[in-house]
Amino acid sequence: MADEYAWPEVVEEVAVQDALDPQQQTLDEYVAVSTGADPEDLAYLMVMGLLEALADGGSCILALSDRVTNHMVNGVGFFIRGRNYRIIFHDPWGPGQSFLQLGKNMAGVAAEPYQGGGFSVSHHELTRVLDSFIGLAKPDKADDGKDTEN
Amino acid sequence: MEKTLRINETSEGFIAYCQGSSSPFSFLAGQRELSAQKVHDNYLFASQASPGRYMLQLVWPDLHAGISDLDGSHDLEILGGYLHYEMEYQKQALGNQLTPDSLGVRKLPTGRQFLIWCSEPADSPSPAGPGDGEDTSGSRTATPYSGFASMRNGRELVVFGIQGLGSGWTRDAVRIKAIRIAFSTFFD
Repeated sequence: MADEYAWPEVVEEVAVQDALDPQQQTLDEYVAVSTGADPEDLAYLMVMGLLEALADGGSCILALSDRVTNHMVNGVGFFIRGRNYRIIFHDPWGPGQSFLQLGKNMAGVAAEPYQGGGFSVSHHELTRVLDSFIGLAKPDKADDGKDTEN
Repeated sequence: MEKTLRINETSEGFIAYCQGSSSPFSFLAGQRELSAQKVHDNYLFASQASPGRYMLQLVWPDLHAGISDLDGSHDLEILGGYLHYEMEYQKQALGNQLTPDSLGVRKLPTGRQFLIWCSEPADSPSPAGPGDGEDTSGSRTATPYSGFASMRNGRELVVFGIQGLGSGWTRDAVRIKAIRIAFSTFFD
């Protein structure tokens, strides 16, 4: 009996391929299904969706709100520091300034200047102010405006 | 190699730091009012979230020698093998089945893949309907359905199992919590 459910010695073929169907599940579906879900989880998953979009090499327009001020910034990438993903963004708030710097927002978010330009903010802090985002796909080489017809 | 787990309370919540035979990793073990216990080789955590209390089980076995040396291209096969084993066990021991359409593959922002699925009693009246099978007794008994997330960590398997406690938990809430725990996992 003890070995009846032993972990198999060899890799088994299972229907994992079915789960790879991109139509089957997306993070958007998880976020949209809010019935009874923990609001913390939904905010967290939205930020993870943003990271997924940035990981694919695209940039994103982030709609932010501290429930007093609404503002938009341009997310361009992320890096990892400790247990934090830090989202890199450019902010049109003003020269060298950001709405997400400490003291400029009511949510207590404290973005930091990023060495390569712009700012970075931790994904935990972003859950407090991210309302939505729009992914901007990388330009397709075949659609770069050049006339490819002979 | 002996496995060690320690918990730190941070602004993020209760973070478990794990060290075994592969890369150290950490994850969100609980949000508020954490209690934890070790059950054989597994760990069981209970904590509080908005819909109510919930349980998180960490299953953290070493892979067999023949499997552990396989490269990353076999990760999904390995995770699928464990899924098969886990659901066979649940079917025979608990009468549970895989929730239809609950199986999916997701990626951490770092690119590491994990498997997500749910299980529920085989006699659930409407398996696909959100909230079906909920515990509406108002008690703190565990929900009859569970959400799971599994990932490979080199020579180890890391599996998170979530069950809600009480009536506040829908099936979607349990599934989403499992995804959130998987996303909270960082590998050194």
